[in-house]
Amino acid sequence: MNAMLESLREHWRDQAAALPGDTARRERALEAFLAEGLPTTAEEDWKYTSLAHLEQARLTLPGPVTLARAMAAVERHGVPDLEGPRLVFVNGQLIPPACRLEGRVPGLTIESLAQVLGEHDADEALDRVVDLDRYRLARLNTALFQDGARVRATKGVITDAPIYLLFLTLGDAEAMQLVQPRVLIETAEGASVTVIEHHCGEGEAAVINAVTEIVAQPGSRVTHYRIQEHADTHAQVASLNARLDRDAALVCHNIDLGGAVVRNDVHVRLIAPGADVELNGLYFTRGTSHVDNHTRVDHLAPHTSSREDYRGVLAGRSRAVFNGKVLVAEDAQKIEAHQSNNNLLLSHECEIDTKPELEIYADDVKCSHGATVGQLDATALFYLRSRGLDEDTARGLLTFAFAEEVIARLGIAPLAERLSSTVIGHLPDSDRLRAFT
Amino acid sequence: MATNEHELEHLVSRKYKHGFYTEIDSDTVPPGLNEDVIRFISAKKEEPEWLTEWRLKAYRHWLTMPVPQWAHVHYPPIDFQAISYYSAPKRPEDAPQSLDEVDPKLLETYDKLGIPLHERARLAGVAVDAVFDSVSVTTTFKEKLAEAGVIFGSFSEAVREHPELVRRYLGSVVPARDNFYAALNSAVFTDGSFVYIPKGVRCPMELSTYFRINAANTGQFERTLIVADEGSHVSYLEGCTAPMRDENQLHAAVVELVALKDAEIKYSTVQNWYPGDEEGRGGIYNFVTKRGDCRGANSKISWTQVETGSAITWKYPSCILRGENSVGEFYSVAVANNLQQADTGTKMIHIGRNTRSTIISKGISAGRAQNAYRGLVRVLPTAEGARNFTQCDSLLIGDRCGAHTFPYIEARNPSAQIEHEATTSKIGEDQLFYCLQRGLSEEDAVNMIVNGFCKEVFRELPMEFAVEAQALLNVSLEGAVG
Repeated sequence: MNAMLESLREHWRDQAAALPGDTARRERALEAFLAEGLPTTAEEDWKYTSLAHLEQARLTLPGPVTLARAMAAVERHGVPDLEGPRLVFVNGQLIPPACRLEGRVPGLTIESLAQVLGEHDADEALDRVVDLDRYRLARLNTALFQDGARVRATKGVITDAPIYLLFLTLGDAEAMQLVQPRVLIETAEGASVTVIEHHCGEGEAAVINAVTEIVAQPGSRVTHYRIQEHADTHAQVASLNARLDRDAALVCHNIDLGGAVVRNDVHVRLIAPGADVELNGLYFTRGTSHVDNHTRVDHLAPHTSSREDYRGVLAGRSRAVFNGKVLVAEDAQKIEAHQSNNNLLLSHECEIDTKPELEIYADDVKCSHGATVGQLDATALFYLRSRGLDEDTARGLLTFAFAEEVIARLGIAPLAERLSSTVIGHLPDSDRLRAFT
Repeated sequence: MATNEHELEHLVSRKYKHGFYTEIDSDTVPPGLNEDVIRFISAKKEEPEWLTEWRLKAYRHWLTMPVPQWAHVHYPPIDFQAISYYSAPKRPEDAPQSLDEVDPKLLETYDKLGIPLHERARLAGVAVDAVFDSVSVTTTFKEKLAEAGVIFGSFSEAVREHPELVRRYLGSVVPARDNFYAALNSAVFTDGSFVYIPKGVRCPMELSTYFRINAANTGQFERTLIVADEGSHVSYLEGCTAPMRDENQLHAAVVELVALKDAEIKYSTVQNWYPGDEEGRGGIYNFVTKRGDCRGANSKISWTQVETGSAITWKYPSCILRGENSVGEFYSVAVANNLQQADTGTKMIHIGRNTRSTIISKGISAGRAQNAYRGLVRVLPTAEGARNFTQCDSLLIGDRCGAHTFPYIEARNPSAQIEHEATTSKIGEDQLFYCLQRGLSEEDAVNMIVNGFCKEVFRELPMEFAVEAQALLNVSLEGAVG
């Protein structure tokens, strides 16, 4: 057993009693995870992403952070102008003074998981959607997560204001922390919610292992944002698992602007006719960062549809991986599934590995995918140059425009503005670019 | 649509027309594989010491390799000790020099196939090196080719007559340790074709080989090596049919192409081996390694394949684009019906500057078949200005078949331009309706649509081959849509 697994076992021994919820479930998950260990590049799903550097890392479960430190960090990283309820977690633990839950809509419940676990139905709600055999690191989350959020909307409840969940990781020089956010979203018939998961951090190396589960009952709608702005020392693994019933709709926005090694899995199951999912993604990798996005949409029922558009901008010596799989099960007829992945390479040292996959076992389907790797359009570049812009500014503007197409779909102004600004900040000559936007 | 489906069923369930079995005495070794068998094959072929050693090295490495499992195909494990690794027609020493000397039974076989050797040779000006089981029986038009300096013959002959060429290029594109089946082939290959086109020569005719598998329990392990020297050009055709049989037969061929500076190789395949019956019994396992190396600047390798046969096809004709401005092309139609499984595609490895590749893949699945496209486009940092365009379309016929796409794209150069697009759908009812209301019969309409679907690939085939390809497509699928 390697150092990481050993350290996890020790933590289990010391802290199991203090973790909320069903201990037996946690123990089962931990044993299964320890038996399997970390995924390796020998596995097809992890072909391009190595977690080998974590094998010798001794991980610790984070302790409490002082309120002053937490509040200062929230000040630095949070999106300030968002209206609506918010829960703030620093190093996996709830910071009540930073939360805002007043003026809630009847029928909409937003809770800390640690507080509600132990209640019968809260424990039942865990691991309902996530495929633990496929996403093994989710087992580790189940075993050792400390807190998280649960969002529930009862029948017909429609909320306009987004629910903002901020997960901050403050890395510590003394020990590498394992921060494991957990989010459950459940919408009853006809309900509609918008949830923003904002993952960001600073400081020394840390490991973030997040799991989100979404259960959408018939006719309900979930709009989900996962904004990742970790420090370039942080490793993050996240899985988003959703199950959509009849006529349910899910829109996911996945934005990755930080992190050292990042792996995101999105797994959406469309289990009844009329279910529809839209996946939007943007990854901007710089330095030596490595961002891997795996998405999987299972069309398990007829008359389901999916659309997916992921875009990537790669700079420095970074590497990005995209793997988008669409599965159409037998007898799932009348399917429409479209997918595209476009990548812009800005340097000679970066690398993109993309694989859009189709696996289709029904015949009455319209499925397509496209993937491109390329550079900026020469004619567009020429046009801007002919208008008197210098080469760098012209390139910067076009790169920004490429990324902006995904950001423009976000629909929440303060969030979009914040991300636009971050993207521009990542580009060379950002001051000049700001003058144009 | 009821009549249509009925008709469709009728067409889909048509028996394999080319199923017959010619009895010719074979000089066969008992099933099993060990170093002695390899030495026996090598001795039988009167091979030089270095080649025997090369085979043995490949065999020893093969023993250490696990059977690959990654392809999207399912089949019972193969017992490699149950296969006989050598089978040759009886009288190899007095191989016929002209068609008159050819065993009449063999000619009869070709007649049944509807591709009479002499006619094809005369009408199409094609030199045919017919591989019947493992030993070349006849080679025509040799004189004419010799005039141009082209070497075209069986592999064993080339080993005897041009050992220096064989030694220089054998295994230089597909090393003996490349993969499980390539290693097996390197150890036990029995024959195949060898082509050398000298500098600046444009091969005066299309070169063609008909492979056939015969004699029960005999795996066929061909080895083909084509070398196009600087500034030369060659078009090579390969076509196959196989007799009907109940046991699965393993076919693990290796094809190596080398294109030097300014050279061009066009390699076309029509593959129509026995696909097994409606229940999936029998049929050929076709696990082939095909790779071309664009070694010199401005060279070009083009693969065109029409895959309609075999129970399992597992084949990825690839191009290594090493030379500057070199071009790789892959055009493929893969048809899978009944319980056939196909996992096919290509690899384009861009190494040189301004290298270009095009991939057009058309997959058709019917019955309960599974058809997968698996491709890799890799652009290395040195491949400044590399360009790739990939299109893979799948057509589904019937609600129990599957069509899958697994394209890998790995880009490490910012000036690379890579486009990949794929679609999967069934024949549009609107398209069908349009044709019907123009007075076409259902069958003709479907034929037309399927042919249109494959047009981009068929037009890459040499004329005389395109005809056969369409006939094969009709046998496998004709009108199979409802």
